[in-house]
Amino acid sequence: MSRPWRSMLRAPLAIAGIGIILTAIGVGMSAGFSPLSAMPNLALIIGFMIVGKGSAILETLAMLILGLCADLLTGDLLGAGTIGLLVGLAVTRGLVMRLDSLRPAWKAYVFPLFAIIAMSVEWALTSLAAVSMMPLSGTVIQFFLTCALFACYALFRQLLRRWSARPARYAFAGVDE
Amino acid sequence: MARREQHRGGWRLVQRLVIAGLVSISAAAYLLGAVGDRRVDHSRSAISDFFAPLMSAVSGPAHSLKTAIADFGGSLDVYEHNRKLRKDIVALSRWRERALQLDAENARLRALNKVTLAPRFDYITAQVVGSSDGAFTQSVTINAGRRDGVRAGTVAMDGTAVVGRVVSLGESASRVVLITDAASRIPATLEPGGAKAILMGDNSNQPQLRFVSQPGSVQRGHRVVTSNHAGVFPKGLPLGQIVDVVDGKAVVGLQADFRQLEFVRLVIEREDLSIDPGAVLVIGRDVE
Repeated sequence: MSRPWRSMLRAPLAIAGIGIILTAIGVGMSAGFSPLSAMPNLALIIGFMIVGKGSAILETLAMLILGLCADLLTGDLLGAGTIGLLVGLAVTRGLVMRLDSLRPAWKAYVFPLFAIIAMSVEWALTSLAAVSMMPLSGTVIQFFLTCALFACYALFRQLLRRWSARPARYAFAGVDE
Repeated sequence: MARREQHRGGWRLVQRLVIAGLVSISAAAYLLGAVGDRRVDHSRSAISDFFAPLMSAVSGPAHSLKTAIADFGGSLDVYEHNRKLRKDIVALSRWRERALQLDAENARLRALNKVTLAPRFDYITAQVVGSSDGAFTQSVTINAGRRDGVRAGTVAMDGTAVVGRVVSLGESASRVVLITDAASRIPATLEPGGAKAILMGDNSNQPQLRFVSQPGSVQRGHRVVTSNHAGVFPKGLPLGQIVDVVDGKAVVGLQADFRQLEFVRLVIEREDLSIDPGAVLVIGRDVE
């Protein structure tokens, strides 16, 4: 099996697998803290890492597995978060294709867009299933917390790259279309 | 060249069909979740069971960290705490005297009626190993399941007041939906007065009372306890107290401390104590 195929087959699914474990760890960690304050949505951050890492099929499959497991683990309505992630993937993927000429650092700014789309879809679907408008405050707090955590992660990654003095790899390299 | 184009077109079609299939799977999952299919609960239980050891391992240090932070915060205002505790001790000693009097009176009345009440409930304690601090759900995962005698609908308390009920049951782990969850509906009774109502969660720590049977009787300071009129909850378990009444809507301040939710007490109802609704209490002639 050639290297590009191997990386295409492994990367998104491997990221999804790690994401599921991280989500379980996050759920466990949040037990130590207040259950009445929203925590960052780890599945969104992991989901964004999947964008541009492989073929459209693999990305969709990885996002589906990640979304379903995250929904089951967190107790959210099954499928609502998954559909949110898939819609976010479709929009972000299309956008990233158009932003391909931009510097990778700029592409990190796409994350809030990805997050807001995914969370809005999840909010709408959850409200639809509950036949009442879900409170928006929790969603807004979670959005900002998730963006803040992603910013910390991006900063840490940047520092790590500088420290290791390796040539930076483009965030969305490997997109095959 | 033309063959390559044709091959590419065919591949794109396959790709689109596969993606459409995957999206359909997620849509089907959503529909199953929305209608509350039992298979969703089974899947949830299975995944909770699988990840419970990992969550338990992580929640331990997280609890320790939280306790350390709380201890540090507490040490900053230890003087204020001490003063408050002294005041509480004085107030509680008065209540203790009153409780002892009532206990003695209760014992006398029971002796008079020759009534022997068997304990109706058993309690087991479980550790909170996971918490979904999501925007839409307020639930916790606990490390007790079917093998410990937990059943779907089992009430969870924090020691003094109700925090939620078990909705998803695994062998060694369960999920408890908190009474603050937007989907939570708890049949309640107001004390005094005995008005019936439904405590509806809204993802905040101050849920509202709806469908009050005697709307005019709702007053600030009234106690809110569980009611057994839906047959789901045992009667009389404390929920909280009315803290505000705005436009006829009562806001309830919950008694349970959700910030310190490390352990929950599960109320297991004994099966062998079911009483025939038509049964009557026969009082001996000597009592009469």
